[in-house]
Amino acid sequence: MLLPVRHHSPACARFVRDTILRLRPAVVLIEGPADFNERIDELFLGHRPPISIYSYVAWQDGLRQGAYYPMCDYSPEWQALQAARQCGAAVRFIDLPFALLAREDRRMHRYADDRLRGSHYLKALCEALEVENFDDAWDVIAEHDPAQDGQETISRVASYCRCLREMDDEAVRDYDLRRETFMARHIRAAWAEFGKDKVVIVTGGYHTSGLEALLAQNERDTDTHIDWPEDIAERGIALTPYSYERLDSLTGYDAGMPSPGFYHQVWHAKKDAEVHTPLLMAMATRLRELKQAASTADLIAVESCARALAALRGHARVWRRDLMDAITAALVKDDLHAAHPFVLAMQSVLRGGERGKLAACSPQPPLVIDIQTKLDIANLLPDKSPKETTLSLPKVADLEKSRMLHQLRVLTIPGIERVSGVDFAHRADLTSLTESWRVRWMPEQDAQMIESSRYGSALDEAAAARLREQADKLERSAAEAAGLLLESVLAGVMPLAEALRTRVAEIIHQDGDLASVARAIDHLLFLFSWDDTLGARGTAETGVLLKEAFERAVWLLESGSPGATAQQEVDAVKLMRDAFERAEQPMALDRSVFAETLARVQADAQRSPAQRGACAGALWSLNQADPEHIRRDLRLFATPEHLGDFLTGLFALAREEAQRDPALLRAVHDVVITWNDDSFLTALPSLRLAFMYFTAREKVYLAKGLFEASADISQPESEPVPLAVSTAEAAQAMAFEQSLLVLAKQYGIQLETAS
Amino acid sequence: MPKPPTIDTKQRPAAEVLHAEELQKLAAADAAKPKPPGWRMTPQSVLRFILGDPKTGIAAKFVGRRAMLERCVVALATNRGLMMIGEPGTAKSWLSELLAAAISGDSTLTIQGSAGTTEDAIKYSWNYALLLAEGPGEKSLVPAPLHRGMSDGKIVRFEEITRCPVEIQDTLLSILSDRLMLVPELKGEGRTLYAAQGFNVIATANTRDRGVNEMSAALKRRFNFETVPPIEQAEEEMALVQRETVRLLANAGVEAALPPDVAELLVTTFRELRGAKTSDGKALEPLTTAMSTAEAVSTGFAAGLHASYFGSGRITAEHIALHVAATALKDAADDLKKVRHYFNHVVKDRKGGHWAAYFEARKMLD
Repeated sequence: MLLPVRHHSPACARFVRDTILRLRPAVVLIEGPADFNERIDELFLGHRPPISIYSYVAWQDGLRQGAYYPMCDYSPEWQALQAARQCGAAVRFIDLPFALLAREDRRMHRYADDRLRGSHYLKALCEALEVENFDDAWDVIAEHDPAQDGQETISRVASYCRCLREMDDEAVRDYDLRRETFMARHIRAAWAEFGKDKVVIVTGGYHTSGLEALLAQNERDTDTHIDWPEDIAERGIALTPYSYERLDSLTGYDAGMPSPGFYHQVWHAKKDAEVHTPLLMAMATRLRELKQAASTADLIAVESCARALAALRGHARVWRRDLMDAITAALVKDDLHAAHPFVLAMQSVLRGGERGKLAACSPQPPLVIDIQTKLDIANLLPDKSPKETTLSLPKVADLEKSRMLHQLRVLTIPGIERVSGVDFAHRADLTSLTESWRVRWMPEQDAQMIESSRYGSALDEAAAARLREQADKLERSAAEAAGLLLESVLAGVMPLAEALRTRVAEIIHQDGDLASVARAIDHLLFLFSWDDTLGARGTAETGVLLKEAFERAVWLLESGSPGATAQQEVDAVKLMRDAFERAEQPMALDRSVFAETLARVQADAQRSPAQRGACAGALWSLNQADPEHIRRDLRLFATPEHLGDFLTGLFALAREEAQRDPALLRAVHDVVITWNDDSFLTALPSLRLAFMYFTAREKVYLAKGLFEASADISQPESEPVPLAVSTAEAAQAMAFEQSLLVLAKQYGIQLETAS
Repeated sequence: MPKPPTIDTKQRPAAEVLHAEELQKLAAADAAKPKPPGWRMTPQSVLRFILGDPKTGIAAKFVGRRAMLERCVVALATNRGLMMIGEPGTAKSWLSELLAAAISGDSTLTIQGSAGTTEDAIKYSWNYALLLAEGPGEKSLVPAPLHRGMSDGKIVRFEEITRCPVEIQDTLLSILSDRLMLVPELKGEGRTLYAAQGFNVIATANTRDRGVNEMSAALKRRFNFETVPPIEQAEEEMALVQRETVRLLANAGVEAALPPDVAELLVTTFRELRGAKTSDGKALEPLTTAMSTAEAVSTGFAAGLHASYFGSGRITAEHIALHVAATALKDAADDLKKVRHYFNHVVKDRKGGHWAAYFEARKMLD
């Protein structure tokens, strides 16, 4: 007997369980990875769902792929397993192993219902049922009515799935046909072994009609042997804990049923009992914890609104969408948007907080084994007494160890601690490239490792996934996103973290703060141009992101970033210029766009003098500006308030060029001598700041040049007086003075040095 | 005496007049069905009237999500008022007109909120000649929309409620909770006006001017709030803008079409500037102007008139660029700068002849 199901559907789970208990078959065949069959008993060790079968494959070309088969309490697959065990039936998984599909089918979540979503048929169905989307349509078809007979449910599901398949916009895909052929062989083999009426088959509804057609043919093939591809380097399959949070966050092709917390409640509620009441109470508690108003009267309003909506929509009970709509309608009293605190609280309640746990006696998930093997090789297996180790990063072996420890740190495994070492994030001192780590055993360590196995089966892969998750939580901060990228480089997982890089690029796109994008450029420029230790220098991955950040900054430079300080504006232009110089050739940056933008900002009278000076300087240093023009523009800033700011920007960007152009200094001089004392004193602090960009020696040369070029300025009367004492004595005197200052400070006296 | 205007000569007939036939049909079909007391049709029929129903040949009149409309209808059927908030130009008033027309068959009980709205304009006032002659009584009382809605059991629309002073808004408090209005000047039975079944209030407020933050918590509690979002799907908005522009032009006696590629420029510009995000995910500086669908239609309409009076009658990219600046942006100088930036960095890189022409037309923004 073929039972069509939607994965994660409580209604299907109930029907599957009841049918198996009633028919008491000899064997139950389930859509699941056939390579788990030899270990299928592991599923019955007493785990607490949600758990998942995790299958991974590493190819000889270095690609690693993995996929999950998650099961919750109310999954038809999980209930089929439990019911089969209860009536003593054998259980077999009958789908092709993931490794045989991974090349064509990128879904990580094997119980996602990608084929059920988004066709013309579905659109028409939603219109006919007067609902908004597939999930609501499904609730109408199968879930909301407790009085609906199981037979009725399953025949609705079957005909819905058949229509979907037959009226699909595309033909059935080749790998789906391969899977069905393989499943059909398993079914024939089971029929031959146990007899047709002793076999129950549980598969996704999409495959049921395909299987029926295959089984009706006069075909005898019962060969269930698996032909593994030859270019597999490594493969494995194991159980791992899973969580509702994870199940709910899937979107697009990987999406399954949303709101697992709601359907969990549906599954555990007594027949005919209200599903929404406990959820509404949980929601009220959550809101009160968040100090949001949720009075009794509000809850009454939600309740009555939810009931009215359910009645309007013809739902037998208040259902998921009714509850969600009633909460937004009756509680939200301002602009409704996706990040509204009420909406977030509602989503978290409907998501549910269940986390799966594997039974104590189950074999350890692959990630735990991987971590322990790696720590063992590095001779860093955690012990009760802490182990300290100092790593010198230029050494390949030490760099490997450092990466592994960073990966563990990213996964927040307790007991792995970086005590000290070089700081790549601030790059204050890159002369000593060492790191010290302390490793010791802590009680929560094992639990955290098992917990982390939801990120992947290998340590590097898990670290990459965890970073990606952190990036997902970031909003609009390019600097923080680039910081995560730096972490991924430290952990040596950047090439793996494709999703992270995509996300970082997205965040850079969305960031509207020039200073933050500039800090991102700073990180990326370091990685792209200067880093010799971590192996990111010159890689295409960093280059692409640097280009993104650069282009975003050009955009923001022109649109203006309110709130930025003058220093931030100047720094941003400087970083952009540096990035342009380093990456123009390799990343094909567009010189004309950059130069035009700089020119427009420089000419914009509403911009700050410092920013306009910086743009002028950038153009000058890129050979895109005539010094004559810059001297002329200088006249626009010839007021005591603005001159220093303009020059600060100009010198920050074009220090070399300014030194080599005596006429510029002359022009500054011409402006300054026209001022009276008050004006000069007003201008002095900012002028002083501007000339800080030059070293003492450069300032001497500048001054000399000025004296030589202008006859009207009298030379200082004498050369600086040579010291009357020897250099050693001078040094001694200075040291003595220093110690006096320290002593004075101890007594709370602040003294200024004479210099 | 001049004849009152007929449907053809009225500048803008009310929704219940414009769609009288459909309303008649739906109400007749629902005659025997249970419906909320005082309603002319079932909630399901209200939805069909607004969202359209291909089976019975009812045209769609509003583009929006079904769940949002279901919440609106349910709010009106319970004992809370409905408050629709959103950016200007998201068709809040149009939606409230449709709801009132469908539920009560009358969308004219409208209070326009403004800084000068008084209690008289909301509840009732007096015919002073009769008041002096006969004293206060049913005859000398001049009912305002709220009074009429309560006595006839109809939906009352309160437009731009947040533009009224808070004290005036609070006039609604007792009416919404106790569903009665006191007329202290009258004696006996007339003193208390109990709301007839079917009475409720739809208020609208836009989030750009004065938001709902100043509204009293007590009044907020008596309303269900619905945010009316801009149209989600680009294709739907495009179709709507084209249809409405052509309709307005036809009303003005101008035969001009909005060609699809020009409509694409118009709608894409409005959508991207409104959402402060380009279609490929780049963030833009948000404008202070709302850039609503309604503004897109007026921009298209102005461009059409321009093309027909001063051009060949064909709307071009240049007309659109000009009227984005003139019609949509009003006098917001900062916004104009941001739109120029949009042209220099977004429009410039777009592929296709119409986009190139649009970029060339950026001089119209100067």
